Amino acid sequence: MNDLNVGAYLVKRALLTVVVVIGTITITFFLSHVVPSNPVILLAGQNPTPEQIARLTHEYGLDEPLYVQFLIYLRQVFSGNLGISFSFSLQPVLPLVLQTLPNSMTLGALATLLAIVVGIPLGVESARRTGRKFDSLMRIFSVSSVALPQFWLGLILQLIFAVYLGILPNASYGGSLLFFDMHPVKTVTGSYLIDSLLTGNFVTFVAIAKSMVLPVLTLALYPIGLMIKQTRSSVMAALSQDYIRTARAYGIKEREVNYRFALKNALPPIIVTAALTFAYSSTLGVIYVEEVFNLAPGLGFLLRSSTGTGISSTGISGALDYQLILGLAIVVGIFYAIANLVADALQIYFDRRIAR
Amino acid sequence: MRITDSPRSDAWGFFRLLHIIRVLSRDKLFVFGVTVVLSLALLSIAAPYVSPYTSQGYGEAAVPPPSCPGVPTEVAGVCPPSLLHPLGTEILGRDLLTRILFGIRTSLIIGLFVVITATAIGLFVGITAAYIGGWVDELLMRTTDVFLSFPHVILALVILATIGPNFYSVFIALGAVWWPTFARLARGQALSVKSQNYILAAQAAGVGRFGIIFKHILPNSIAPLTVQMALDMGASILAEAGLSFLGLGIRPPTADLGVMVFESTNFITTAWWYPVFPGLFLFLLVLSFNLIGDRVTQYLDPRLAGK
Amino acid sequence: MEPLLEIKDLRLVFSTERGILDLFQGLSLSLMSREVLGIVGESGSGKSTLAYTIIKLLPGNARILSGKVLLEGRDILSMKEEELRRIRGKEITMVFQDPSTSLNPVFRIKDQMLTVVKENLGLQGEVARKRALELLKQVELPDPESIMNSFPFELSGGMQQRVMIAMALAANPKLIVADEPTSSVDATIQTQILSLLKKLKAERDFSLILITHSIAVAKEVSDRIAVMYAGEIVELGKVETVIEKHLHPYTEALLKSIPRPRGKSEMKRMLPVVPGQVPDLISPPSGCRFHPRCPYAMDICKAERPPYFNKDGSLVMCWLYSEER
Repeated sequence: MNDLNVGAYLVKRALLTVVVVIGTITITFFLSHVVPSNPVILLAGQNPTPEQIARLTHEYGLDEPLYVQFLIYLRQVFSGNLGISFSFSLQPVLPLVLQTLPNSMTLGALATLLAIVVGIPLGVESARRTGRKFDSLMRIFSVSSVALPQFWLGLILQLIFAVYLGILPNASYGGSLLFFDMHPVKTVTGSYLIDSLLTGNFVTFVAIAKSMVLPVLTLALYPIGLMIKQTRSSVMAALSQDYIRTARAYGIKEREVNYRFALKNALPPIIVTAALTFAYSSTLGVIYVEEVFNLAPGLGFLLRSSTGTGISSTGISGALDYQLILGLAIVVGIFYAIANLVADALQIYFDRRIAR
Repeated sequence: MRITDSPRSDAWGFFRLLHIIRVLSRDKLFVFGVTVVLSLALLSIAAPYVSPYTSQGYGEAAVPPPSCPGVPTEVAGVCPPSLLHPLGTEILGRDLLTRILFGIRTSLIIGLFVVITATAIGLFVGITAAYIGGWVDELLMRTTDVFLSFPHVILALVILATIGPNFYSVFIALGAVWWPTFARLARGQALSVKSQNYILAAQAAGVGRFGIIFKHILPNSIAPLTVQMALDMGASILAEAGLSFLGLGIRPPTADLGVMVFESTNFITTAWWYPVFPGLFLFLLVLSFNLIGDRVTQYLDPRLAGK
Repeated sequence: MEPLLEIKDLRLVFSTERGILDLFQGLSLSLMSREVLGIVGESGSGKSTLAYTIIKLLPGNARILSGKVLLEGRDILSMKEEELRRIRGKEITMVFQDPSTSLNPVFRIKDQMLTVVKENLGLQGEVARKRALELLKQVELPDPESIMNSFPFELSGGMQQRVMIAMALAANPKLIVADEPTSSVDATIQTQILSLLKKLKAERDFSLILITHSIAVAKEVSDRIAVMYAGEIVELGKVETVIEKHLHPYTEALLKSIPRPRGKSEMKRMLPVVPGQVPDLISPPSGCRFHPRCPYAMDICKAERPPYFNKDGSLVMCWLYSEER
């Protein structure tokens, strides 16, 4: 096995990722043109004159045929221009999304970590006890976790832990919307949790961490179920292989047989699940959770504002911030593509045969 | 029977179905799923005829608002469960149980419609790809791959952002993005049917392209898709509720479980029944569909269960 | 002298979808210290199951109804998992049929060797590594350093099997059970592996059970040969006796199937061909299990399971020898 193979394989996957990203942009563009609409009317402000509309329409290339519009759009996207958001006083979309991403990614990363730490051992134990009580319990848990609406689960956790037990704050970073007025955090990475730690602001860090416990739990439950299911099935496949019999015949400890020899073979699909969990939890999942727990800024907060029903929407109320939503979708698409690419690289690291 | 007829597909399908039902009827979780889905469906269908608050189910506010002693005034209208309102009342004083049953109607209708639309588009794309092959196949399947590489709901958001949220938009948006799984399945199925002897015989006998597609490939491709339909009912109901929760799906006054959960967010500290019940029913409904799908898949492909 | 290993009246069945598969119906066998026993039989004769019973690594659907497997007087079959684990790899080890699937594909040889060495010898760090390298040298692998850093799929079948043997030898076991160690490699490598086993056997103090479908392979290294048919040991004796003065009709058939040297075409007939098929043990033949394929079958063969008869120092399970007792 030489490193050239690995390199060539990764380059191939990276190229494929670029294709998927272009595909994503294409699909997003054409889906948004399923129904003819004229964003210019929204951009032109109140009571525009027909001349204003015509000028803007021409300026944005909206009088060109669809494929020309698409090429213009593609060029814009690749130069980092995702349009402007009218719910955020006409700011460009890309910086808006990138600014809010770190907080959302922190939540997503913590949820993924929890899913890995809890889900993998439960999955391995489930695989060892196939058909027994523990296994059926885990099966019911994973089917249930997939069916749990996350936006509702968040409310229920608030009800239990914040309202009745009173041991955790029920909403907002630091437990109050005014928290950052009293405890300002210097921006380093853009993620409150990490920045408060980096700047040595421990009181703030603890308060923020506490307020993130329930959101992370809410985000993680569904991935934990997925992780159990995936780990169970792939570890079970590995446990029936000859090399496991060999390990047992050589007196290797059962723990090491399961968690080292079987698990490493079972890893590739588990890695894919973890990568998709991270992508899902940092984007779509976080949108629900940030809404339920009133966490801002973040992708959920952005989306809420873009639908005109947000908690602190500053834009035209009741109208959808169409450019912002398109931009969000493209960023999410790129996020997924990168997560897949990272999963590919990690799989190779754990099993070199994949690159052959 | 002529030589170009599909071999006994109807009769076989029927007996196989009977057998599957007999085996699965001994599976507790499957029976639980079917029972819950059927009772919730029946209850929600019957709701307008049996509920004393039918007009509230259709969206009218309660006049006069119910009075409930001992509840703080800032939550006027939101009353705890009582004999008159078994699950309590909600923000506009409406009976929560009635609203929930009407919400289940919405969920079921949208779920069914999305799944049927997705199946139709999926069959069309999958069979076209399989039957024509070549670059058409390549183009359609690569598009399908891109669709599958990130979540349906994000794509649905894009459509909803363009056409604006309402009852029909949710149909269109979810239906338009839900088909790729079905397309892949249908293509695989069509490819395997295409190479069967009776298709070759039909071609030799001069049956035209569309004849073959409609008489042979289509009927034989639908069966395996039905399992996927059951599996996707739960997922699409959940997706619709999520979109509605975000304000991008169903809009009031239509009863919707996602919207109800959203409206209840402000009442966590004051009225526990309001956030609890709508979501609980949504969970039960989705769980039951998933259980049905899970058990059927396990039965059809025991390897997945590892037995 | 006390035998090293004693199998006493072993009864074992498999529960399958089609019903109960009755494999061993009271099998007994013993093995002396430093002895090499070849167990020969067609696939389905139960020889591999016997190997796995000795180390108690049976598939989940196997059920031991009665019997004992005594290793120096301790009953392996009644041991708890932890006790078993301490015996496996240290006192008894196995070499498996297909090294390409029996070595873990995602670990370097280094990691697998070191785990075995550390677990069974209690060595650590550099000492463990030295020991592993030494073992690889003993199985005559060239350039042990680079082998240590390889993944199994980067090695040839013969090299993989040598690595397996090295791991089996790690803790100086008393007994090595080799399950078809040469059936997945070609003839040249087969000869090399067999002579390696012979050499190692001469250098060290272990007993060997060699499971094989080929009586020719068994002849190469064994002191005694046990011929298995449909879950029964039908003939057991010293290697010369079994080869030259075979008693059981099945042994005769097996010997006939050995390819004769015929120049270059010798390789073409590797698989033993005995007329007829191995019986379905879910509904085994009555009496002697070989009678449907036996050219000498008599009425009594259909009616009664033959006992062992002692002849020329061999044991044979066949009615042909009943008068001569």
